[in-house]
Amino acid sequence: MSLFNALDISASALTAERLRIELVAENLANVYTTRTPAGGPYRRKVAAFGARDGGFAALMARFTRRAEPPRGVQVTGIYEDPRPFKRVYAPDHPDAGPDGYLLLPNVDVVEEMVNLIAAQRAYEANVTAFNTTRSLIQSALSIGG
Amino acid sequence: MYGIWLQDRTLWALEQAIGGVAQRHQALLDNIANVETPGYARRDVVFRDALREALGRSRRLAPAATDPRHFGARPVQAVEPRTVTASGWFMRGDGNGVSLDHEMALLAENALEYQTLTRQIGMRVAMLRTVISEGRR
Repeated sequence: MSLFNALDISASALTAERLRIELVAENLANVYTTRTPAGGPYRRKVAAFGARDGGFAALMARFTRRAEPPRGVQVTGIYEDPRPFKRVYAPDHPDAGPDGYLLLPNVDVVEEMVNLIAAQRAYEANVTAFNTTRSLIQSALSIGG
Repeated sequence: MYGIWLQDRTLWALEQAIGGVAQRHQALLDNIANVETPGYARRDVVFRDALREALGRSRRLAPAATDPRHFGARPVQAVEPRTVTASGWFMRGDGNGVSLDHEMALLAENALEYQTLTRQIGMRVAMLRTVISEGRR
């Protein structure tokens, strides 16, 4: 266990939050995409987070009563939002169905903006935590002198 | 762990304390990293009471240990930080027990404690150096 491992914890969170921000950007960019390779309109993407448990090393540490390895967070998967698409009456649109209704992506701009702010704040909190760790390491380095 | 001339109980205690504070720092970082993880229970590290007990300053009535072989006595070096996981206390509907403001405040507090300890260890080392150089500079 060292403080250098601690940097890894914050770094894992920075990676995860940045991925979340990227997904928000992707969702917002595709807010009006009605045609995708998979067919049909774009589906909103969400990242699922899970605590990184350290795996076998953590289990061993618990039995040998050593300090546990760093944990942090990881993205367990990117999922498509199963909520239904929005239906808009637009008979002149090339992707409209025979009944004249157009299916639009299930992206809610307001929701995405809220997620963006939440992810940004979480990112900032982890940057602060990272800098705190850095200053701790620096203060440890100054012990002898 | 040290030579016989460095049998410094204060330095041991400071070392144990800084180890505990560093481990607590990691637990707090983990909490902050998992602020958006559903079902995450916050973790914390406790060592203070054990260290106080080992230093013989506990409020609890305990037999005085004047020798490491004494029964029930834990030497300062054997104090181990313990990780505790909070359970059954959730801030939010997703079962996550982390309050970001609380964790950030604890992180700042813990970091100050770490810096205090490094300063104290530095002073202790400077003291030893003074002794080695017989007070001359």
